[in-house]
Amino acid sequence: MKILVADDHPLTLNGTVSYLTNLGYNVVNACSNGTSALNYIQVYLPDVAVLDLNMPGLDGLEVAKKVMENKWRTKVIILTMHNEIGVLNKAKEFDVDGYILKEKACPDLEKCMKEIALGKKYYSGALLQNYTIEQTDDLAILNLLTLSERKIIELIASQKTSKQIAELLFLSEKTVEGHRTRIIEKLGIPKEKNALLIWAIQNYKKSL
Amino acid sequence: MPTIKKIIFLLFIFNIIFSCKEKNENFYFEKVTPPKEEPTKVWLRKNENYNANKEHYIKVFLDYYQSKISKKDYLNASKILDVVTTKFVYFYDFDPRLTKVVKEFDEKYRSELPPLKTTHIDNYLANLEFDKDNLKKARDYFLKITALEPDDYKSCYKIARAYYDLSYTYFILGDLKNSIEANEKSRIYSIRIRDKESIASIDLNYINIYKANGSFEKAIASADNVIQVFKETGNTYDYFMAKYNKCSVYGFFNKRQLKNKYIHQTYREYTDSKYDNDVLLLCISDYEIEALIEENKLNEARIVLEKIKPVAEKNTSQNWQKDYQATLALYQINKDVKTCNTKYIENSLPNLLEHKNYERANLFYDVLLEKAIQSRDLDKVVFYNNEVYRTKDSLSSAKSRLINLELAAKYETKEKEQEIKLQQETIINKNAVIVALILIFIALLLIIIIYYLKQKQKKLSLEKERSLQFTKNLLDKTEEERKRIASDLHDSVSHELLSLKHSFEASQLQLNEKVDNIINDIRAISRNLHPVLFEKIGLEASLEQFVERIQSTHRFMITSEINYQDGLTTEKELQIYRIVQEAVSNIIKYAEAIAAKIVLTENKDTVTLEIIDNGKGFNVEETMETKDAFGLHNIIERSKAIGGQAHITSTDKGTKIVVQIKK
Repeated sequence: MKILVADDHPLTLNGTVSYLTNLGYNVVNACSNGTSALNYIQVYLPDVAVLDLNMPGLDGLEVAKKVMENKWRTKVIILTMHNEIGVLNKAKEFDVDGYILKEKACPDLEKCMKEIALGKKYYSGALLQNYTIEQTDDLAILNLLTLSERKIIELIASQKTSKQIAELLFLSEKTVEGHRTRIIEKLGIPKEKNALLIWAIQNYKKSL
Repeated sequence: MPTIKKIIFLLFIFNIIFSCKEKNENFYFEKVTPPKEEPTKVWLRKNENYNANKEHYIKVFLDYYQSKISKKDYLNASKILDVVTTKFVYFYDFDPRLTKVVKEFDEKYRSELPPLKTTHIDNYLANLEFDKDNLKKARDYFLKITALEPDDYKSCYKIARAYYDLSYTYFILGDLKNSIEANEKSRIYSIRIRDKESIASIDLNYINIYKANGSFEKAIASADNVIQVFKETGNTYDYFMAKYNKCSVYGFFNKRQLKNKYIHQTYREYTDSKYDNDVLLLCISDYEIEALIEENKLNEARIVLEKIKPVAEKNTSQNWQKDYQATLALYQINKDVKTCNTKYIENSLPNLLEHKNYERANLFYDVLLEKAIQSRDLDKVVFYNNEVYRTKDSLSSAKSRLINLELAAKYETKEKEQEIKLQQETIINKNAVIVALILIFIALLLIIIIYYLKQKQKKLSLEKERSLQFTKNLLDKTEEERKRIASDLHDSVSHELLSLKHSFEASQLQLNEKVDNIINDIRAISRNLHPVLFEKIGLEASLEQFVERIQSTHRFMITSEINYQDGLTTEKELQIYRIVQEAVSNIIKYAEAIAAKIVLTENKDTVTLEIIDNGKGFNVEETMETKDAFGLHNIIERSKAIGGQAHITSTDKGTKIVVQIKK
């Protein structure tokens, strides 16, 4: 498996190269910017390109875009410090095969290489970690719910109709109904008339 | 200070206008439209009702008059008497029934009313006496009217008219000096009411005055002038009367051919005009007959005579009666001098001479002279010839002729001067009005401009103050931001690093965790400074990311609806992102809203950003004035910077911020 590594920080570049070499991978080229990485990919079509995001010239995403557009067989792994859902989504748009946070590179890059070898995609598990809501509720079961669902249940507890809830939360009535169904499923409430209302009043009074 | 100047300026203008008005009020009287009159009065005013059926007309008048008298409404009785007597005088109709009513009113009720309101009584009586050749009595009645001073348009008109009649009376009496003076007085009063016809009538008298003075050209010129004016004003009666007078001028100066030609023309014009008036018919026909007799067209003369006979017999005016009799006698003399009857004329003469009615005496002597010539009675021819010249001279004695001519000339120049003065006055008045209007216009314009500039200045200074405040806030905010970054770096990163240094002995796992914390701290700081990779991932993804982060970190229900196709530059996108940040942070801080929503829509030419919440709202205008409205100003200024406009509306049901940006 021929691997290309590109990073504008020499220390990181060397680190990545030696890490991969130590794991037994064949690093064929190490570039310090996106432009030379793209040129190499274009000519030699390595199996894997491990790219930093912020680089002078072309950045990692732009290279990934070119690769996707030209349908080259090279698989792209983004190795970055950016732990942002928006950036990940963008990368997914360009059909990258891996997205790894640098601070978690140590175990993740190895896992990623293995997954890719199997033809799968791999996105660092550490992503979104900082998005998880800090749960403060006593009722552990509520932690299963998303923010929207929790807001809805709050409003149900204060005996609002779906229509009123939809208006208050700037959602469509249909969306609210959908959320209700999901809440009932998640909380395992029996499918009876007003069951959710009763549950909400019983369990959610304190937050009113 | 421009305001004070303006006020002074305006006062000045008003002063001019009012001073103009005052001057007018002193000398001139303006015609006032009378209030709505009773239908009977309106009916009585109309000439056609008098012409159609005089008996009925008189009955209607008497009933109306008596009803007013019985109600002791003397003012209205007097008013109706005014209408009717004026009409009767106009038609030279001195009906005894009317005369009786006038005399009765004069004796019984006149004292109840102010003299200025009853001048028509004197006018009627004067004309009545005049018609009976009691010229001196007539003169005295006219003098009674002219002794008054007018106080309104109507009384001024009456006095002008009385002077006019007085002038004619003096003329008949042969007192040309007083005739001219009265005539000039009439002119002054006519000018005061600015009545074109009254002013023209002055020349009607001058026809006779110049005639008597032997000034043929001037008499004809005066006549032509009057004819012209009455033709213009459409006053048919006075138009023909002026022509009749012109004829008399020709006759007086023995211009027979001119006279005959002119009267034929006038007579034809009159009969063609279908204008029906007894007096006009009589006087024009008299001259026509005279001319026909002279041209020896006796048959034609007889036809005209027969035509006017019934009219003449029914007419109550003694003046026209005499003229008719003279014409009739003239016809008879020429027809057959032996059978002619000149008794009436011979009998009338002493009375005429006694009353100094030289004009008519002259006419009668002419007739008698004609008779003497026809009957070849030489003694009588000599006698009557002398009488004709004597009476003619009596109208204006040769001695006084020169003086009178000079007097007339003097008045003529005076009149012209007055006319010029009047014209100048009118021009000055008009100019003053125009100048005043222009000044007012300029003043208004100035006021508007000053007001506009003031408003603009006010707006500018307010804007300046706001932008100053904004800059100050911006600087404060920057400083605050730096402080926050400094403290963030110091409090989190430094401390974490310190703790990292202390825990090198600890396990690999702990170390890892600490390093991760530091990385996350730096991430948070960086994220707060600038949205991560904004240029790369674009506005839509950045906003979605922002919404998610707000949901997770603030547990605030916010949703987004984005329909955007990258129609704006990255710089503008960044400002939109900042506006959203600002607005949402305001909502979280102050609104107490249950939820908020961000809507971004791209249209053909514009991109619209809406941020809605259902919080408690605030008073937009009031808040904008306060110093801590930095957030709102921030939104507005950023919108402006990217060529957009922000509208903020707020009620107790929530707030809505709409930003429209042109692409």
